[in-house]
Amino acid sequence: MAARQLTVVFPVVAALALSACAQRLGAPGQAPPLDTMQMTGTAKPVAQCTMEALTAAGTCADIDYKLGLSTNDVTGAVSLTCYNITPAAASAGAMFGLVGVLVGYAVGTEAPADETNKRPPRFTTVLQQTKPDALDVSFWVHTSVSGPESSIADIKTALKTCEGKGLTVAAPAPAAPAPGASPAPAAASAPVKPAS
Amino acid sequence: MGGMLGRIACLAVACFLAGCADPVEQRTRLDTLPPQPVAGKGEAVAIAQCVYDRVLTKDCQDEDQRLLLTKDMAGDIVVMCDEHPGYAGLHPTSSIPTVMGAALLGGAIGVAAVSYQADKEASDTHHYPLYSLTLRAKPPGEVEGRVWALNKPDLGSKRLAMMAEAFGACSPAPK
Repeated sequence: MAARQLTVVFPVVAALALSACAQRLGAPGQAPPLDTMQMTGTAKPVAQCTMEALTAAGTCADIDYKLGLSTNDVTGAVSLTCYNITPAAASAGAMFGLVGVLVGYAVGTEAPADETNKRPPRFTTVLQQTKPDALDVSFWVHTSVSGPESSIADIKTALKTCEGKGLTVAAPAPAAPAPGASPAPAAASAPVKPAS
Repeated sequence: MGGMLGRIACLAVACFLAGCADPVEQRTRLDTLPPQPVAGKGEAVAIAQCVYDRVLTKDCQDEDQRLLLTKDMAGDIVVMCDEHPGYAGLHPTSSIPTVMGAALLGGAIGVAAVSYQADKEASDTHHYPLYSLTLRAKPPGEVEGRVWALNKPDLGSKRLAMMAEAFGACSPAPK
């Protein structure tokens, strides 16, 4: 009997413990990234494209969360973050049930989805240019019931659709160039930045 | 006299509603330790990145703290441990007595006041650094800067030493 109760209680306690720990993983500056990967492209266009792909997939599209881009002044890394934009007052008011929440939404203002938003995000993906055509991507996510792997997998899926974004030439050229081929016409997109 | 009493009563109510811990006032009271100059060779951004990586897993690990790599208004590169209530998220649980008090005191108005305060705190965009390293590049591959820390009992001087040590280990910046 006790064992049966234990099997019920344990997942609940585990879930509570997990949600308490979740805060530590969701943002850069708290811990090293949970996962990393390499890809081709330039940071800004890839981030922009990934943001669109995630939005299309309905990731981070609920009422309290919103995607936003920001750039680090020092490293030049571009961050794609799922910001918590709930008015703080609404969550303070939640203690009083629906009325409190309504009062909160009435007096509070929605938080901005940019770097001034200091709340724990749901996830952050940082794109750092390592070579003119290569990116290091790092992932920080909140631990959720489905596990961080599933949210990271979602972001990776979106990133893969944006492989090579922002490059002026089609990245890999497996075949030898045709003899006498005229120089490729200048692409309309942004030129590749020289290595710094 | 009456005005004074009124002010005290007002302050008491304000404390009751919003909690008395004003971060700015607290910081002013703590004062800072004398900044320590540092100098070395290498590239400022690489050194800053290296110091950041060293400190990230060592310190600045509380819920409401984040290690930041940023630029200040003078364009100097700064590695700092920033403390802000917003980082810990929207957890009104820490102020349950305050909120309960507010509810008893003024019903909806009290709740609105507390909610407003919570909103203000979370949307405060200032940084409240606990300690920092500021770096500026000097022309022929040299870097100078200073380490700074809030004078927290015991912790302040340890943090100052930690940052100076990290700078020493990172400059000349590893290739």
